[in-house]
Amino acid sequence: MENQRDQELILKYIDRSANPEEVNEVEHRLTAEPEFRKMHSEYNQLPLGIRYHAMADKLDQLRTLETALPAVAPESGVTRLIQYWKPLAAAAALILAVTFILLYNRSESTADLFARNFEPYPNVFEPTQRGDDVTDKRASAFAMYEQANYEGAAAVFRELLAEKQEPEILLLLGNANLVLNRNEEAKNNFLTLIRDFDGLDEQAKWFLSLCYLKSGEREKAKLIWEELGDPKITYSDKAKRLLKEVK
Amino acid sequence: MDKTSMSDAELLHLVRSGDPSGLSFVYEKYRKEYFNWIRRFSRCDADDACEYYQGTIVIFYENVTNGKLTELQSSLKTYLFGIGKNLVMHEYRKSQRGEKVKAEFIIQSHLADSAQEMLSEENDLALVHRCFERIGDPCHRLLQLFYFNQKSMEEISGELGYKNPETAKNQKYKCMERLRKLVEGERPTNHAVMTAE
Repeated sequence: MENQRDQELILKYIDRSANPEEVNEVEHRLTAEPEFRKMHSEYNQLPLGIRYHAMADKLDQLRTLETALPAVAPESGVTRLIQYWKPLAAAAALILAVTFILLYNRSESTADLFARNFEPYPNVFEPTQRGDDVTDKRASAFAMYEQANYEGAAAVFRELLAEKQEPEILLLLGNANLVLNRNEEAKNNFLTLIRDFDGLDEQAKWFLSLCYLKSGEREKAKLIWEELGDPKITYSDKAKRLLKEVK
Repeated sequence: MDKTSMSDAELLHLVRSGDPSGLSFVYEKYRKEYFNWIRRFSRCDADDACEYYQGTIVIFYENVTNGKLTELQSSLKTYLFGIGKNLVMHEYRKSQRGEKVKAEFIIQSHLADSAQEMLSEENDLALVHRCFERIGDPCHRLLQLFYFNQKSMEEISGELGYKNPETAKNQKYKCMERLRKLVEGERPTNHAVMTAE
């Protein structure tokens, strides 16, 4: 039988109007009482659903409005030239000046930047100790990675991932693929890591940004560096420096 | 007042007032520029650009309505393009799945992120949305004012003509209970339909 006090308590907790004692009680009972947990979960989805309802309604209105508006034709190069002739003229002058300077001071290419910033992530997960038995498939993969036998390590990492997805292996396989110039596979490794796991997000984003740098997708790389620029993040300095260098 | 001569702050005020012409005006004002920008920026097609833009405007609308955005630190255009940039950023996480951009998913992801919920809540969002459509007033209005517009019980009781905030609070409790029952009643049927499909 559902208890009205419990319902009110859960609603207060969800609305963040519960006092500290009530919060303690709810949190304790959430772990101890399955029925209470079920009731909480049923209530908990409602506020988000109500917000979604209001937003979905607004989306419907925008869709109706959109049907009444003329299609937006893609801007042709000429349209843009006309629209931006003043800044373009200024830019042309600037390019001339910069070209002149660059003749004396060549800037780094994307490939150079990548090479200077990429260093394979070390195997800090399952380091090989002297005397370890590396006949075991898993241990041999980590050992090969440490010995820079990336081709061999990647092959076994793929087999291990086919059996079970593990964040540490995805990170190292992505790195091995970057060394082996398999950029697309590396991207997929890091994207999967970001999407499906939580613990290695910063590392995955950093190496994903290097994938984008390598494939010339600078805007995507820059978006990630902006995100990594937070001083609390390990890669903050590197990300900020790269942002300056590619601007 | 002619909207074309309105400042960004005045437009923000108009959207916050709930006048639907305010949001429509903002939508039309930046539409062409945003479409062209995002097509270049994320290399997407016209359909995706439209979905990004609609998602952006709806998120902007929510931020204004719930009081999260009260004052712009930059121009309105910069703010909207900033949301767009974040959406593209978020999309790279999904690009592996090869999904087309959908404004509904953009909104659902935004909500899940804001509540730090897992994305598996997506189906529940659609289910609650459907049930909430059927709940009728005063519950519909009351719950929307509280959870979407983030109004206090004092404001709600004034706006909906309740005797005092306590009465509005009791009514809110009953409405939540009613919505919960609607959703839970819908869940098994939903499951049966999905199985039949």
